Amino acid sequence: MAIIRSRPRACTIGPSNGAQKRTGPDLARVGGRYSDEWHRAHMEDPRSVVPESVMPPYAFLANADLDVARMGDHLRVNRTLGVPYTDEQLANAALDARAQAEPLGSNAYDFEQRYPGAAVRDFDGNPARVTEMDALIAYLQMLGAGVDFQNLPGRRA
Amino acid sequence: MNAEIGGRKAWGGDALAIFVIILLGAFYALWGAAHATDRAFAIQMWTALAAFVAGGVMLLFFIGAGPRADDSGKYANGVIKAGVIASMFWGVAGFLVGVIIAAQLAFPNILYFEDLGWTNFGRLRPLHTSAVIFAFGGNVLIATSFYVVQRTCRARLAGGLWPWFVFWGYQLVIVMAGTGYLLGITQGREYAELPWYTDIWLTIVWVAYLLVFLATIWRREEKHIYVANWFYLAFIVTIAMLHIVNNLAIPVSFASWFSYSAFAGVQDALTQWWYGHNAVGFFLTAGFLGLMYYFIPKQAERPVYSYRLSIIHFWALIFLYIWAGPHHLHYTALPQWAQTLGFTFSIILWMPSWGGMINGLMTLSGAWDKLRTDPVLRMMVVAVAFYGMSTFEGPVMSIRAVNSLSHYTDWTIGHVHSGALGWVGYISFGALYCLVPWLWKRKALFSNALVEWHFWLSTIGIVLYITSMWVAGVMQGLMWRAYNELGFLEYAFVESVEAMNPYYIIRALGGVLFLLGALVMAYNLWRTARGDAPAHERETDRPAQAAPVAAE
Amino acid sequence: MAGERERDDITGTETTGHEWDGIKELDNPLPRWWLYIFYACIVASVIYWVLMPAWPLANSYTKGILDWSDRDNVAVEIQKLRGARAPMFARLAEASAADIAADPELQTFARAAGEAVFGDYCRTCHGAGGAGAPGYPVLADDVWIWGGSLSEIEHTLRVGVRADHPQTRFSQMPAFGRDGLLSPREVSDVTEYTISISAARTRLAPDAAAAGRGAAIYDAQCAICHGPSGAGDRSVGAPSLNDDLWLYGGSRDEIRRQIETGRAGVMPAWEARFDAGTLRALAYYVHEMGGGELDAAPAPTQSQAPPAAPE
Repeated sequence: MAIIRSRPRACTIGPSNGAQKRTGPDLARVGGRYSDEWHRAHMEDPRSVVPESVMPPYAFLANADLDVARMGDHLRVNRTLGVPYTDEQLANAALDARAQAEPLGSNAYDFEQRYPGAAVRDFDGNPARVTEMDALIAYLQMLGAGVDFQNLPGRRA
Repeated sequence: MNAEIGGRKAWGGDALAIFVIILLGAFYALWGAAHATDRAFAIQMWTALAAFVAGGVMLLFFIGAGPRADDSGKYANGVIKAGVIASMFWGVAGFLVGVIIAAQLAFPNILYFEDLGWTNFGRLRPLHTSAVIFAFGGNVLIATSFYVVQRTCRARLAGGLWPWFVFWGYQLVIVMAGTGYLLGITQGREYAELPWYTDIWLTIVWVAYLLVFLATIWRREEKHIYVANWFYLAFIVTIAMLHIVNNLAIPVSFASWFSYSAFAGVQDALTQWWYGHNAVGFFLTAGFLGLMYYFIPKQAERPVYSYRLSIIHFWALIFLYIWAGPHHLHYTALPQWAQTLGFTFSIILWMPSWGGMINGLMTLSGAWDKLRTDPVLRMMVVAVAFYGMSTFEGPVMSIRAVNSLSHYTDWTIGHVHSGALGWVGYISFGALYCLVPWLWKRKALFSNALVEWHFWLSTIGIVLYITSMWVAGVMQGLMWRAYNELGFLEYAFVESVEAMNPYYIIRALGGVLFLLGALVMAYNLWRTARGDAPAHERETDRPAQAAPVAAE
Repeated sequence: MAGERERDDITGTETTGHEWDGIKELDNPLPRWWLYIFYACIVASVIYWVLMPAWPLANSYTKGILDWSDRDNVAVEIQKLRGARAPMFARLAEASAADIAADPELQTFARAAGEAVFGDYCRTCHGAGGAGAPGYPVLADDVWIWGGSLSEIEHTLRVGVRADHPQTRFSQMPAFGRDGLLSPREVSDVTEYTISISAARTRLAPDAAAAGRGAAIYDAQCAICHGPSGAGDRSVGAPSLNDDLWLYGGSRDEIRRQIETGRAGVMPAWEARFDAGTLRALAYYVHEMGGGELDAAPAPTQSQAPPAAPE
């Protein structure tokens, strides 16, 4: 749902693509499980919130501006490969990517019309910039977030 | 047959073609650097540009030196020497990065730096795997294949300058890959993290490698093709196919490193593990079996145990391996029938894999006493033993019931390393120990005692590594599936992470010992090549002087 | 041809007559054991193919005579597990705090269920055993921001804190310093005053003059939520300032920083993810960690606020 994507495939050991080793936990349904603030603290210094963790720190993501300008190119390639993005979504990709992380920005309303139900927040807690940290947290917060937990066949009961 | 191939003019067709490739590469790199959409891609393009300019200058110097001497009556040794040096260099670098990432998992508080993204485990881990598999292993395979194909075909390496193009082109792949990973550039495909433009460059280099190898076989003076060359050829051809299919992708822009795979979802996962498993099968198994089939009989001075076994296990191996990839995706979204095929073909693969072990070990019959006195031969024999162990462990782990425990755990890491350190590492070390005195024309190695040190340091290292990972893996698997009597999970995930700490420390220690052994080896080889061992020319080191073709 | 071939001196075996760079090959037959195990593996695989799903067809695949399906089996196993737990969860969903207190079997079950869920979902922030972390309240003590009775804990779990639930627990402390509501000097003064009314005063020795100036600011700005004496107010989620427990750290600088920035954490609402029994088990587990309080009135079977979603 969220169109912000920060190198989602850059994760060598992740649940996508059939990982062979679970060094960290399965993130398949991590969306909505923790607050943005927790993700930020966890990314900046994993052991500040999970003392037993062996995860590397990703503080540098908060200083890396997200390349929103070329978001349309990403969507276009995805459409070539079969993802059904509309012309409107393609045309507004860069604005939408920014709008998703700027709830008070002028495009937030349009974005919500185009992507009903998508989260619009300042994910990284730094309203001045749209960073790769924003993008990564937005991505994590949507993992499994489309699942209807009330009606799962194998639901915990 | 055709000793004139390669030409004697300074500007042969080979030099011209290579020069054109270098020019095209340099133009693209310059364009890419100018139009780069991000800093990481720009750095990659400047790196490539520097490499192409250096390559062009090297070529011009070579050509400026005047007409080439007629070397058709000699084996090409220079490119192999370069390959031996590169192998040792990348080996030590790759083992060092392995030790660093093992230590990061053992001591995360000390070895992570929050603002230095390039030091993170996620960046260094592909650097380690690519450095040891493709940089170390790849250079060993290219160098030994160039050596073996010449001796067993009694023909000089074909293609004039093309073998050098293969060598330097391959080093460029390694440099682009390694610096790219540090910059955060990766496709996220395991063992195929290279971005699309490096993939294309590797394809060009690999096709050149295939043609050099084929052309050398074509001009052979022996009637039959030796078994080692079958394995090398299977390795080269299949890796080309796997590499191309697995990396089908569309770049976001020609001035950006990012691309999207042509496959999605479970097809993408299957493609990756079809590639990933066969990279193990054809790079780390078939390729190194080729190496084994030359260096073990050579060093043991004994005939290969069974010609028939070599034929049968060769064809069985290459036919069966290609089906086994789905065993990496047991109990996933992959349809169960595909998992069944992956599992059963892995079981059928057991004996074809062991055919290589039997031929390797039984070749020593009549020469077992040499294991006491010749540490190089012992290293290669232990390599074959590790090969037998991990090609047994592999099919066992592919059994679905076993896999449900072992999958995602450190058992897999231990399994990979018993194959990588024990088999690939030791057989490569053995070959390099053989090659250095042969290529630098020394009677023997500088020091056999240092080989003993290397052998024992790294053997203890391997044992620490794989035993700690067995215990860790089984423990993880049991913790993840433990339910209490009321039907609730016994452990949170993080408790399994916590429980791994002592084993991660032991594993890192094992890695340190293995690295130390490699440093001892590098020192020994350097002393040997430098001239601290007596000079000696082997009688058969010229195509014309090789043994006559056996009468038939 | 065979008769003319060379024999190996040591083993007496024939060679194939070829030689490459001095390497010869013996003409040994395939080892019998090797061949038989190879055949056995093939036979075992063929049997497995007959029994299990194996080969792809045009639009389907061979199902195998066992008609085995992992997917179905997992669904059955999950169903079985659900079935085994269901009666206890049902009892738990209907039980009041007093009912649970009177029923050791229910307690054991609630503890086990709560522990499992806590380990997967809560421990990440609140720490092992509810030990807490900066910004994430300690659950093992008897200090509660929103209430520590079983029903209050369960309500907090259902609706979350500042979460995307219509009835979520919500409070907002202003960022007095960052947003310029107080001058830096005033922030310092009110910091000293806050320390002076807390148990931290013995530890941090507040400046009496500054604290005196801070009292007026406190009355004007803080007392409305935290109460005139700093006792806090659970109905608005304002923590007590009289103890020496601080959500964002208890050093002078950390206390000051919270007055400056008014940080406010988020806890997800769990109502949509867990059923009533699981939520009660989790509430019971947290309640039991150390500081659980008694319910004021006999506990209802539902949380006090009307539930947003059907059970």
